[in-house]
Amino acid sequence: MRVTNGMIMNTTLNSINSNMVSMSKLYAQMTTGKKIQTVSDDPIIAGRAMKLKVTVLEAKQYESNTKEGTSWLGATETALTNMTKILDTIRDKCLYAANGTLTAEDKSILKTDIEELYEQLKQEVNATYGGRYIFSGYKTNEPMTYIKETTLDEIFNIDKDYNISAGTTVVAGSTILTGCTLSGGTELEANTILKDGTVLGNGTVLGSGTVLNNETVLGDGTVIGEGTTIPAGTELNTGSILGKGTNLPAGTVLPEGTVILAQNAVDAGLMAAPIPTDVTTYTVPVGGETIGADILLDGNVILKGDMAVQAGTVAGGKTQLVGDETKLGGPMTSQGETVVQGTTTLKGDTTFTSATVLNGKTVLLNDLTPGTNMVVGGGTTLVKGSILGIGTTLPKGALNLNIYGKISGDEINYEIGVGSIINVNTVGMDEVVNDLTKHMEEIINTVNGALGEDAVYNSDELYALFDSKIVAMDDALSSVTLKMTQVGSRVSRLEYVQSRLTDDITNFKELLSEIEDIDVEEVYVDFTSQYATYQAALQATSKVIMNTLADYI
Amino acid sequence: MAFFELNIAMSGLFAAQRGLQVTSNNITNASTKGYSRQVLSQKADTPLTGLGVGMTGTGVATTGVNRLRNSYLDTKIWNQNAKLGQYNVKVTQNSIIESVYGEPSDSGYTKVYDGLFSSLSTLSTDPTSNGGKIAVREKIISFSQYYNNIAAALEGYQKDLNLEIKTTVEEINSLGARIQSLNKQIFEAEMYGDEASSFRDERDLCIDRLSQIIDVEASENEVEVNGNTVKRFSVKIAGQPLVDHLSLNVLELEVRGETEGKIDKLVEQLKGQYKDLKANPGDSTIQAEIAKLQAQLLKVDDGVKIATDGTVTFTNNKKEIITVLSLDAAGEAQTTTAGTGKYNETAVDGLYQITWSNGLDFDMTSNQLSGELKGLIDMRGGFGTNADVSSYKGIAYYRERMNNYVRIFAKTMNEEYSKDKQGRIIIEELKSKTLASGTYVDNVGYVSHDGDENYTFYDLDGKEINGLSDEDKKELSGMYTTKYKLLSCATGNTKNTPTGGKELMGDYSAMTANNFTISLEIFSNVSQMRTTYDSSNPSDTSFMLNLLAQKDNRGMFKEGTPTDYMIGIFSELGINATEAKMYQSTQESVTNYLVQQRLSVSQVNTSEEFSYLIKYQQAYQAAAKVMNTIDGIYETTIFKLGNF
Repeated sequence: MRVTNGMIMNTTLNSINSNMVSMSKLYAQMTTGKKIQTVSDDPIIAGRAMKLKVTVLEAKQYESNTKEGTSWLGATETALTNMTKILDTIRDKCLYAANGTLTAEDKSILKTDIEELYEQLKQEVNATYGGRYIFSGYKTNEPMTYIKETTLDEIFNIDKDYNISAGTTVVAGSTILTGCTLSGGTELEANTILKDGTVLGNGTVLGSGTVLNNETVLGDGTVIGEGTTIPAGTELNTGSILGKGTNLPAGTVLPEGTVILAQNAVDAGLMAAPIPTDVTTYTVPVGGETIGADILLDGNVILKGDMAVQAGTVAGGKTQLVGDETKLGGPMTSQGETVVQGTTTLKGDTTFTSATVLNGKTVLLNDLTPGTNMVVGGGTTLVKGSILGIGTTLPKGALNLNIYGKISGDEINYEIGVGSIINVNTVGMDEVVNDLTKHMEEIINTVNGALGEDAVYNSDELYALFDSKIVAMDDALSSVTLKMTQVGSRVSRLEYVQSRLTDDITNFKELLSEIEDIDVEEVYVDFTSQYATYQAALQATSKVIMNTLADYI
Repeated sequence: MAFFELNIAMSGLFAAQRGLQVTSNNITNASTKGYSRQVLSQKADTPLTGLGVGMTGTGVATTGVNRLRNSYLDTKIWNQNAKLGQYNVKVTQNSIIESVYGEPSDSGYTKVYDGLFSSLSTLSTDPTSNGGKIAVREKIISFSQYYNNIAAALEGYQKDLNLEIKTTVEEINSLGARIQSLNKQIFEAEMYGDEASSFRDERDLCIDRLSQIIDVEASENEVEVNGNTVKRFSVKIAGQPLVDHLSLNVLELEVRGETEGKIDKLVEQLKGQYKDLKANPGDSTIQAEIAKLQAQLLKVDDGVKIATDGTVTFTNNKKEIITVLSLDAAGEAQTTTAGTGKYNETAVDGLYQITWSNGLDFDMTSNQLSGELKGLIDMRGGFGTNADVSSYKGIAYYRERMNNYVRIFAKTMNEEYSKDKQGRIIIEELKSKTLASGTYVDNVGYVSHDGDENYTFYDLDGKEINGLSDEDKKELSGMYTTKYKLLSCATGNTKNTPTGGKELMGDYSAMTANNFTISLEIFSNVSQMRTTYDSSNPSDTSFMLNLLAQKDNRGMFKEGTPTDYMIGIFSELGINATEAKMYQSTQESVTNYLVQQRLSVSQVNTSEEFSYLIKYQQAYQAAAKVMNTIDGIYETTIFKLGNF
């Protein structure tokens, strides 16, 4: 074939160019340290490298979440440890008080100590992490116990028995209940309709106008309010009391021991004496009675019917206000375990002291004169279904109503892997605090009651109280310890996850490097040999195209 | 026969001189592009006979100067050149698109995508943190800007390619004109029998270039004209004649949608006239006006047809027949727009459509088309699957893929972001509506669906709305937007400020990668960002975790997770670029080989020419020597033998 200078030039230029292309590729690999510079260099490597990069970045984020979770759990652990110490100390105090003879001074010091410890405990349950309350479930913006006196600005329904802290002022609310299964001791509002198959436990109190449907079973000691319609087939158990105006159709079975109050419209009565054991033979007194001022009601008194209790009445221990429209003129002071039932009207400034049980839905508060507040004694239990009206104030340290009973199952989860989460928060402290509130208030009230000259409680009662509280403290301790164990096991899981993530990151990085990084030695050798070729090509070119025949003629 | 020898010597001198001329012309043109070496052909001149001593030679005769050229190789090169041109463009343009994405990189997609989800993950560990919300806001903005920037760059490249198509068409036209004028020069020069080598070289050079731009079919035919044989040269591009001997057809560009715009305008006027005609039946002025408008319409485009009943139809570039104006029984005119002229709605405005000036159809979509022009058309409008424009994966395809990504991603994220704890999507109240089936639907407040098809609608109280047919559900599914939005779009003048997002109905078609952005609600008030299902449970992490789970949602795209989808785009692009590079390098070696062969035949080799130089020089010297000898002989004869 005929070859021209131009052809040689073209060929050499092409070869030099392809040399340069290889050199430039190797040069880019050397300077960037990466096998590929663009996706088109190797689409498969590029795709794989990108996926791995996402995985590495993801793992880093999971690692940071894991650290965050560990810190949260650390804060939880600290708070729980502190609580255990406090509970231990309280338990020691109880043990000490249950076994020794205490002077008035001892009692006073004991009370102050326990109050202080209790105060500290309430602060511990308000522990925060990064400004968030760690025991408050999802409601991390709310403390578990109020950090200042709080006034309700809307009606609040109590859906779990709530133990009141000292200093609570309650305002009446209202409620409507439809059929449900009720445990013993429940009080039903007037006009409540109970559907078929409702089972009422022992001691249930039914309000006026309650309609009972077929097959309702009323437990022992059921009190049935005025105007209640009892359909045929209803079974009333022993000890039931039927209020006035109760409609008993044919076929109702009234067992022995049922108390039927007089059908009289002005039926009311004062049982000034303890209830006789044999109620079937008891004759109910007729006619409204007024209890005058400053009358002392002894323990075990039952007030029935439309009683008007004048101001200054003192209800002794275990007084029962059972009347449908008992009126307490207030200020009335009740002591001991006063039980208030029915649609009792409590007038302003009524004060209930220790261990008052406000039964049922606290219907007694319905007719409270507006603008007046009732201070409910510490340790009082607001039974499920109670309603707190607008303006009710709860003192600093009281269990937060928004939290209590509303955070079970509120698991705060952190993402620590693809599709893998861990629960970092601890719920259930609200129950512990609620229980403790009852016990602590009881201790404080009782010790208060045992102080001074007109002490209500004697030393034996005090020993018995502390003795029983040792068990209560043990219960509280065991539930806190259980939570600590759970936290501990989660911390160790996180530690494991974190070390695994660190390994993962290293592994992924290694893999990524294997995929996209060059083998420096290899590339360098390639580069050197390519460079040598390039040099040779240049040299050859210079020789080939330098001379023509013209140089020799 | 006196002095006959002098004539013989003289012919030798002349021949050597011409040889030297040809050689020096070759040497001086050694580096001229497209130049073919020329050779002098010579033969022994007609000998004298009848002397009885045998035929006597009469010297040398030069018969012509011809270029050495193999037209078979030319044809081959021209055939291969088009493919090379096409892949050259594709390699360049694919690399440009690749550089827009800039992958693989530590600061590209992986960074913005992970940035977004890492910020959400961090926020999930403390949903109440305002700092966390601000971080998410910033990450959403950079995520959306990543798409905006790429989309804007791709849009810019589509415009650039459009301009390049214009330039290329102009180059075709100017090459056509040049070939036409060379045809004339060659025709005139060769009329007297001499080969117009330089002109031919130049013409071949023009076709070399033309064949890179577009597929070329060149042929030279001999035609008898008045007893003379003349050569006629014609060039066809894309199957149609560009130059046919002395006549030239040029390509023209029209802006897509321009014709449609003109038609729409005229049809609207026509509609007005028909309305007037209905008010004044038989008015001759109006009838004349209608006739005038119809005449104008026919002039706008060949695709416009007017039936005898007045119906106007328009056949557009895509061969769709649109009835732009029809008359009902009452003589009332109904009009339809002639369309935007776009081949796909993603395309930027003002794309060029190529046509022949003589009205012939230039089929831009043809598979036969090749060359740089085809490369440009493919890259500009290649839509992947839609054979309407080009089935190549060009800029239009990547733009559409990006749009599809942001639409599906934004829709899925917004729906997750707007869900309630029961998993129903809270929607912006869907007002009362009578559906296709006649069902009347009152306010709809919630929607749920699994994947795409099975929709359930709930009223404002969360009760399921029953009695909806599949058709109804489909209709309703295109009519809601989520109540809460994470992502939205910016439109018109508010390029950097998001809109409220009410236009994001159904398939989010109002959203593109260009206008994709953060939602207005988060943009303007970051503390309003939704981080839990219920604001009274600020640390309920399940909301954030569900949102985070979208990161690895394999069902979001049919390609898998959002990352899979994007990697899919990058890989496709990479594979296309690799493929183009591969074809380019194959084609390059094929054409290089052919070019070398052509050079082997036609290129000047200086050494060779120098040897010719010596050859002719020596021939000249030899002839001169003969002359000298003869001169001596005559001197002897005349001066020594004579007796003057």
